[in-house]
Formats: sequence, C-alpha cells, structure tokens
Amino acid sequence: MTADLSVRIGDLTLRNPILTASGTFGYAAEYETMVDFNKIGGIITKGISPEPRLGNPQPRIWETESGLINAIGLDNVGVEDFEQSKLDYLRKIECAVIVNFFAETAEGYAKLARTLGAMAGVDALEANISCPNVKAGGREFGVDPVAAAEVTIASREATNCPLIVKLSPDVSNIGDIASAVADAGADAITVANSMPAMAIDIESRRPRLSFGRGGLTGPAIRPIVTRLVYESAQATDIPIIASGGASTWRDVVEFMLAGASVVQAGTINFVNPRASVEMAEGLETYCRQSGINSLTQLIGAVDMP
Amino acid sequence: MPTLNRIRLEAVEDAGGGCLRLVCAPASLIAPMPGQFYMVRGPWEADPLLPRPFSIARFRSFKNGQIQLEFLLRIIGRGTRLLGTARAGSELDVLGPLGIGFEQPPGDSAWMVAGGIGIAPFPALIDAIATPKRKLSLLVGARTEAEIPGFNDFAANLTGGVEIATDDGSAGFAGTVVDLLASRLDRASDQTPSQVYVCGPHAMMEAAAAVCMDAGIPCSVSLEAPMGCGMGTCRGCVIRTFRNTNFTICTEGPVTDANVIWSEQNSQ
Repeated sequence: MTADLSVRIGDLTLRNPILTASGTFGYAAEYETMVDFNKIGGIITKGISPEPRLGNPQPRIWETESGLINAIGLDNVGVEDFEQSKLDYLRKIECAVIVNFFAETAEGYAKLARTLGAMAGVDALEANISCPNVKAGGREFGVDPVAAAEVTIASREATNCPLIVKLSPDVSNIGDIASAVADAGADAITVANSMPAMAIDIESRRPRLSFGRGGLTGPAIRPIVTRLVYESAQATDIPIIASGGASTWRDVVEFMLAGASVVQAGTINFVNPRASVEMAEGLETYCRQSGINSLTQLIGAVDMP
Repeated sequence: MPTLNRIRLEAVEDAGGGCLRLVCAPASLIAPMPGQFYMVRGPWEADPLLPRPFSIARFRSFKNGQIQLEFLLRIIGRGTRLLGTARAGSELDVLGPLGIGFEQPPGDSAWMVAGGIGIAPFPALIDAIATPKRKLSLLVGARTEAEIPGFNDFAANLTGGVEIATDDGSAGFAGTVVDLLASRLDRASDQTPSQVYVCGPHAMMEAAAAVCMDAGIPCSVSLEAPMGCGMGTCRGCVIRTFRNTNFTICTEGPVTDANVIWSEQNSQ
C-alpha cells in the first residue's frame, strides 16, 4: 500500500509535499532531461518582477561550510518575458507550478499578483516579501508585521489564486509575522528565505561578493529554519512550507515534525538535480515502512520537553 | 544532454606545474565536445557543498561505446584540495557534459593560449581539430617555470610548436602569455592564425581578446566564474557584456567568441 502524501494549499492539491525552491530550479525547463516532474509536488519559479532585472556584477556566489552565500540581485526575465517565453513549457509539466514574485511597493505586489494569478498554467503564487520597500526607506516588507500584512492584503485582494507568502528569517519574532500574514489572508507561508550573511577575503579585506552582503542557504541554515518553522507553527494554523537546507528525506521528516506541511528542496538542487525526486521517494518509503498513512501523523508531532 | 553519474577514478597523476590529472574509468556516458565542462564532486556529505566546474581535458571513446573522461585541476581551495586527495578506486559524481564547446578553426592554422591551468581544455581541442595539414601552436604562461603545466603527452600534434612565457623570466619568454601572443603575432605577420583559442584568468582572456581584435583574428575564449549549478539556474556565473546584457557562462558558454563579451572599440 502506498501512503497518501497529498497536501492542500488553499484550493491547490499537491501530489506530495516536495517543492523545488525559487531561485534553485530556474523555470523548470532547465531540468527537463534530469527530473521527472510527475514525482514531485511542484516547482517554484525564479522570482518574477514587474520589469526584467540584470542582477549584480561578479562575484555573485561564495561557498562557506555546508552553505552558499549568494547576492544574485534577483536576476530574472520580468513578467512579460515570463509569459511569452517560460509559461508554455510550465503549462506542459505535470506538477503544480508556483510562481514566486516580488515588487517594490504594495501596489506593485497587487498588480503582479493580478497579472500572474490570471495566467493559465499558474497554480499558485509565492510572494517574496524579503525585498526593500521603496516607500519605507528600503526597509524589508518582511521584517515588520504591518508591512507584511499590507503586501499580503494587497496581493490577496488582487487574485483568487492560492497565495503563499515567503517570510524573512531575519526577524526577532517570526510568530508575529506568521500570524499577521495568516490573518491578512495568505493560504500558506514559506519559512523562510536565505539568511543575511557575509564573507570577507582577508587578503584584500574586501567582501567575497560584489554586493557586500548576501544570503546564506544550504544545510548550514537548516537548524535555524527548523526552529523558525516550529515557532511559526505555534503561531498559526495555515500550512507552513519549510525552506532552508533540506537535502534528504530525513530533513523532510524533521521539518514536518517541527510543523511543516510541505518542504522545499533548494540549494541541494545544485548538488544533485534529482534531489527533490529522491526526497519524495524517500519520504514515501519512510511513511510506508513506519505505518504512516497520513502526513498529519507527522506534521507538528515533535515531542517537545 | 547532461546526465549525473557516479564514476570510479582509474588514476590520479601528477600533471606537472602543481596540477593533477584525474583519469576516470571508462563508463557509459555521452561523449562531450571539447570545451564543454562537468560539475565534479566527491561522494562526501554536505561539505564542501557544491560541485566544482572542470573543462573536459581529454576523453577517449571505446569500441563498446564507453567514454573515458580526464580532468586537469590545480588545487586552489577546499573543493580542489579534497578532490586532490582522491586515489585510484575513489568515486566522483560527475554532471555533464555541460555548456557550449569550441568550434573548428576556419583555416589551417590555430593557436591556443593558456594561462596556467587554463591549459585544461586544450588537449581535447587538439585531439578534435588536428589534421595532417593543420598547424597548431600552444602558448602557455605562468608566474614561474614551476607552475607551467605539463604538455608533453599531447604535444605531438602541436606542429606549430609550443612557447612558454613566465612572468619572472625563469623559462621561455619573459612576460605574460598575452605579451608573448602579441610578440608572436608581430613575428608571424605572414602566417597569422585563422583562430586563437584562449583559456585562463578573466583579465588575461580580456587582454588576449584585445590583442586578437586589434590583429583582426577570430578569438574564442573559455570563460569562468564561481558556478553553483552548471545548468543556468543559480545565476551565479552570470557576467555582464559590453552591451550591458547578461551572459550566463554555464549555458551560453563557457566557450564564446570574445566579441560577444568585449567590444572591439575598447581594444584600441
């Protein structure tokens, strides 16, 4: 007997709880010959902005112990080219297609959510709120419950498409942000995003990245994200999507025990493009062998002291 | 079409100049094109995390369809240091072949210009473009003689000769390999190459490209930048061209015509 691994996010049903994280899987076509999309819950696109963005100069990435610091600069094709050159392929693949998006104002989020949410083939939206709010002096939307709720409401009112809000990890109380975003109408939250980080070349005394700072991802941040998932799960009842360092099915189970309903495979895609499929297969085997027939038996089941 | 394979190492050899040659056991693989690359990683756990990009240094096709890959590397950081500890019998995870490789030269003479470990893709290129009437030359530079990678195992087809440049003058031409290229072009006024292929540090390739553009000689370069995925998705290896457009080294390169990246105007 195979375990039922399906999960729901708003009106969307995923066949299993494994997604590929935004910025680690391009627009899916890149992995066509290597990944069987039938075997994962869905893919999340590179973050789409109202206009194309070139991103930052070199160097853009720097590897640290079990992690990767990046300052890509949100390099993406922009919404117009996304619809013209990327969407046709995404309509053909047999898993959920979730489009990550961001803007610089709440109105910008609303406009983009309306446009993307109306596109045939887009199954859900993931709003990246770890972006500078140009109207608030560049302070990130995601670090303030009021601003986070504001972009959530703006996006929510613009579309009926299932809406996921991707939170920033760089906050003192993620529960406050999680409940603010849930109350504002998000169908799910992604916890979290890359962790602000920095590396310096001691010879030149210059930062390793052209942008100075960057965001740390990969296995190095997984214990931090596990704690953030746990705290978010204490604060809200909407589904939590864990994103941060998951590389194996064991990591998936751990995130679920902390309270996640869905887990994203991110940086590990760079190491092994098939990692998401292997995580889904490993989770299925684990559930079958452990007599787990519903993921509800795992989600939030950590036995805290 | 790339595939991810776990391949056994047949030999790890000293390639001279402080470089190592990793010789893989023959395996059922797709044959690469010279100039294409692989993302290579040992079968260790999360650290070092990312695979490292290496141009294919040489490959052999066997009658049974199996392909044997060879990589040349210089130990420069944690990833290459660990790869350098591999021994015959160790396994490697190899994703590839990736990217765009070299094209055939348009005429009967071609020069390859290598900065240090930039020599890596040239053995495979020489194997692919050598003909009885084609005159191929290698110019190879390094800071000092001890850092010049070995070339004897593929020098037989270098009918146009090999010239060395060292910054400190300890062997061959005293100066950079780009200075050597410029001086050799002056000398060879009636026998300019139909194509120059360049691989080395970014600034060295830009300088070599400028020399070739001034001389009106087609120049193709094999670019490099810190790379995460090799598949165009992490956007780590994206560089800006002189037209202020993005160039994704892992999928649009690593080999490209120099005039895609650098303007001919800037070369004067």
